[in-house]
Amino acid sequence: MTTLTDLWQAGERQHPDKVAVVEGRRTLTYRQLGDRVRRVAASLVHQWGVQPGDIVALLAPNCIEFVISYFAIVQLGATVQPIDERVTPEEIAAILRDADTRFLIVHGSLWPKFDEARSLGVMVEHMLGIRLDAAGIASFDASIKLESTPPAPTALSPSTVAELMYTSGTTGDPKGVQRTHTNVLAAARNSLRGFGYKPDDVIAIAMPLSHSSALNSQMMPLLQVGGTLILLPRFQVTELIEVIKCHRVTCMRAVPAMLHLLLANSSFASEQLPSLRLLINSSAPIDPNTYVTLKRRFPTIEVLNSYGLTEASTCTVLPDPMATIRPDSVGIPIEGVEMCILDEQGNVVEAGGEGEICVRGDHVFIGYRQRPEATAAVMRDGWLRTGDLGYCDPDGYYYLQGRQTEMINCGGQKFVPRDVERCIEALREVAEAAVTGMPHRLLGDVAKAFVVLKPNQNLDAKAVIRHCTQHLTSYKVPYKVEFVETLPRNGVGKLLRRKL
Amino acid sequence: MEYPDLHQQLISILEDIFQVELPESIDDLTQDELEEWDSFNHLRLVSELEDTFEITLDDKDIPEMTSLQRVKSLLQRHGVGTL
Repeated sequence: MTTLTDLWQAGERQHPDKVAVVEGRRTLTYRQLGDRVRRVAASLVHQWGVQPGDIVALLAPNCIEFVISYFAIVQLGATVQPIDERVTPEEIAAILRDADTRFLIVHGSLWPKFDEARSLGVMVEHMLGIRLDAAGIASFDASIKLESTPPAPTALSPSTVAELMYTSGTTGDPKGVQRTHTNVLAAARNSLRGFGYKPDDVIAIAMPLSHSSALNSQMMPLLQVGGTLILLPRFQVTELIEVIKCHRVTCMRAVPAMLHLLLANSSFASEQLPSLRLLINSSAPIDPNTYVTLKRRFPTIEVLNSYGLTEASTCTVLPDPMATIRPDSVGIPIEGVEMCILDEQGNVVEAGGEGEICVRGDHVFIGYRQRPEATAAVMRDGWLRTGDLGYCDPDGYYYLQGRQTEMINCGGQKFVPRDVERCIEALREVAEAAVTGMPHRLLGDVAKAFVVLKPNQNLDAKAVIRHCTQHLTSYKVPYKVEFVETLPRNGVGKLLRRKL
Repeated sequence: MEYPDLHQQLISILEDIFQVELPESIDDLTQDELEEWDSFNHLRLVSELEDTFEITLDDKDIPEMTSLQRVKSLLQRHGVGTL
């Protein structure tokens, strides 16, 4: 298996009548999926003239058409550009401009947002609408029904760029992450090795497919192994719990913010959801207490933690037996992934020493689109410098400590905000906290904390500062504390410190 | 601006920053006597005084604030309260 076309064709060949995708009351077997993929691919060629190397944007929530479109685009040697449905019209415009995108497949629910992006001057030559009735927009359903002539076979290379996925921009301007067929298949392989997905698995995907975790570590490995995808267009606690019960979902991957909300519902427990056999934290560090709570709520199933990033999806796994022993670790590198910690001079740091986490392997992206300098800044000798700070213990377990770019430099003393956040979150009145640097005329930067209180709790700023003074070294203590209703997060729940 | 309870206010600020309990009757306290009075907390004291009394301290004043009495004198020079 060297290309993504091999992946769905293998499923079509090996278990044609097995259900591949479910969305609401709609289902597709592997045979039907293959048929739709061929038809849409043919439509893209015959009606739009899509060629190898072209970029086709995909702006849609989790739906059956997303899966079909993805495989149809990459089958042609073109590149799929999934766009996070939760980004603003301005960000959509910036992303489409950056990629010079000429083709767009857009879902009706997101048409108003795209229309607003168009008003900002974005031009797309061809548009295909999913459940969208708008003048001048071709219909996805009609294209499938009309087209029966398969496109001429394309000589696909494993090194062809399959995906162009824009980073969530937690460190600044969005950059287009390019992943080849090889990269995507390697990420899927890592997930299979690390998480142990099985052919009978049914996964509920509530994270957006436009995100690398849902796409490369959930959808792709499940289809590769012959499992079933249950797609949810949005995350809603009771809806997800009902879906787990109704479809006898066996595995699920979620970000910490989702897990927090799920744990607040008493139905999210082993005895209520007996079909679940695997839960995986994804995409952001999970608070160790929450992780232990999750494990205690599901004592008899596998609860895993993992680490990955858009540029290198699925790098580590924290095995279930370690959930209560090392709940603060993201685990060990999965077979096929190399990892190390480098200091600021690029020297390998010994076990226990802090530094930047670096990753090497076939799953690591090939570079940012048209940004050789940005690529060179993170890629050295095949190693990806992740920008994540952490350490590796003598047993090979990795621990995250924050982002290098988030470091606060207080009078020459650098520290990661997470240290302060953890301290504040230890207060019983606090639901969550985020810390960022704020300018100080004497110290350069000092910490400023944004605090979300639990319902019906009161706390004043002085109490927070007093608590930090008692538990943190002096330069880490926040100078200001602001109480807020919510923290700014991106589409997958990652904290956006730059928006604080 | 008048701050009739300036002494008490200063004690309260020092207690908050250094996380120590100070007797109200304390007349003076020097930087050397308090381990918690490190350079970072010293600058925190500067910021807290500026915020509380709505003044801007000159950079050259900052190293001189090595005791409670010196802090009081400095505040007086900035027209803060009567002691």
